[in-house]
Amino acid sequence: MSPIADVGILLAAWRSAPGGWRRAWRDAAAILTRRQVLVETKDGPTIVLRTRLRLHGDVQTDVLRRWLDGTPREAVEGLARRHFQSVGDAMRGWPAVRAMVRLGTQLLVALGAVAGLGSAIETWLRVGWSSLLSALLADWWTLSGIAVMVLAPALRWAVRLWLRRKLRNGLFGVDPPGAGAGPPARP
Amino acid sequence: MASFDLTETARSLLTMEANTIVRENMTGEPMPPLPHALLDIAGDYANLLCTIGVDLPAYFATPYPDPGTFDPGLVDNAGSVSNLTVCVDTFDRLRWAAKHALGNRSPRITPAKRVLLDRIVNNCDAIKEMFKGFGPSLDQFKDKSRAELVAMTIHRNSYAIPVDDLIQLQKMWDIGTEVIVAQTIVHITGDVTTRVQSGLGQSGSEALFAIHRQSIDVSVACWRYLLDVIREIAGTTIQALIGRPR
Repeated sequence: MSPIADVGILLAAWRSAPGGWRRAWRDAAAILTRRQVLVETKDGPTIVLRTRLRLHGDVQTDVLRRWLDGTPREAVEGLARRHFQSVGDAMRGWPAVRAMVRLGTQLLVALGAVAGLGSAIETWLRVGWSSLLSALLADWWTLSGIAVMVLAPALRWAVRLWLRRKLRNGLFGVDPPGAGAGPPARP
Repeated sequence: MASFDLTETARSLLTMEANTIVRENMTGEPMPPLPHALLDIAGDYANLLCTIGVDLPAYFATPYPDPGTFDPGLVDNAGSVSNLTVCVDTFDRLRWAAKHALGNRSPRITPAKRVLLDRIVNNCDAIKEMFKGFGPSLDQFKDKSRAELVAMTIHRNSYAIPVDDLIQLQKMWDIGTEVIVAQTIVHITGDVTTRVQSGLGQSGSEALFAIHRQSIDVSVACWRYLLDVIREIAGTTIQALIGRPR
């Protein structure tokens, strides 16, 4: 995936899902902790449509009977359209997060290369070939550039580990439950 | 720590299932901690069995009757059971009660009820299998009734179960004994199967069908993202199963 394609994905996610990268990140984390995307739509104070998109690949849509029976068809279809638009938007957070991580990695590699290579060339021009190696080993700019370049791929690895941890421990695991979580069971 | 194998999840993504359910009420409650969720599921199944006249107290009698020879049939004013506990035995008894009801030719068991009874049999079997894989961290909840669970303080970090089982249990808890009015299954090969509850072909169901159609559209559109999620977090084994990203 090229950086330009990644920027395209990010822009698409930004336009379709208001809230930008923060929302994209939150939606992606929600997929993993809850193993599903849950979108609820209200008509007034009542939830009338609810869709669960599970990691297993099934989609469950609950419709409130009294709303379905007592609302004109056009109104039902209009609200349903907006509801499913929200479901699609919620899932778009995931490619946006992946694109962010890829772009972040590439940016770090580029920054490391610019810092390290620039400093190395400057050192070479200053000291020539004879004492280049010892001069480079003593140059913090070169060393930090190399370190950033090496650490950049580790960022992707760290994100993958974090995602795995989220998936494994979310919902029932060691992540602290959010506000309102853990309701009393049904009587 | 729970095992971390998403192979089953990845396999299940080879088909996409869209279910539409019409509910009388909708609340926004999330799934409770696992032991309570198991009792919720068992309670829903027990209520349905009682509603259609299964003599559930007879199935929960002590000693446990041999299910191969025991079939009390349907009764009027069937009593309920209040002593459901978190154990394999509970789901085994519910499973046999549903299985015997399926064999009954009473008009009380309508085709819609047969579908629900089938679901009870299958899900109880699935839960019994899950119990085999539950680690020692869940022993603290075994054989506990609702009252005993309520008296306990359940810490969410005090137990762990496999991710695949969690996803399955979440679905069982979400659906309960609700009737699925329309179901569409899309296979990765392109085959599409739609089942619709009888009686929905009449006029007035157009809005519901429109909702179901939109649900299918969004499912198919999001399929790629779901494959992406699993591919990203599950690593090389799953990548071999569902292919590498281009």
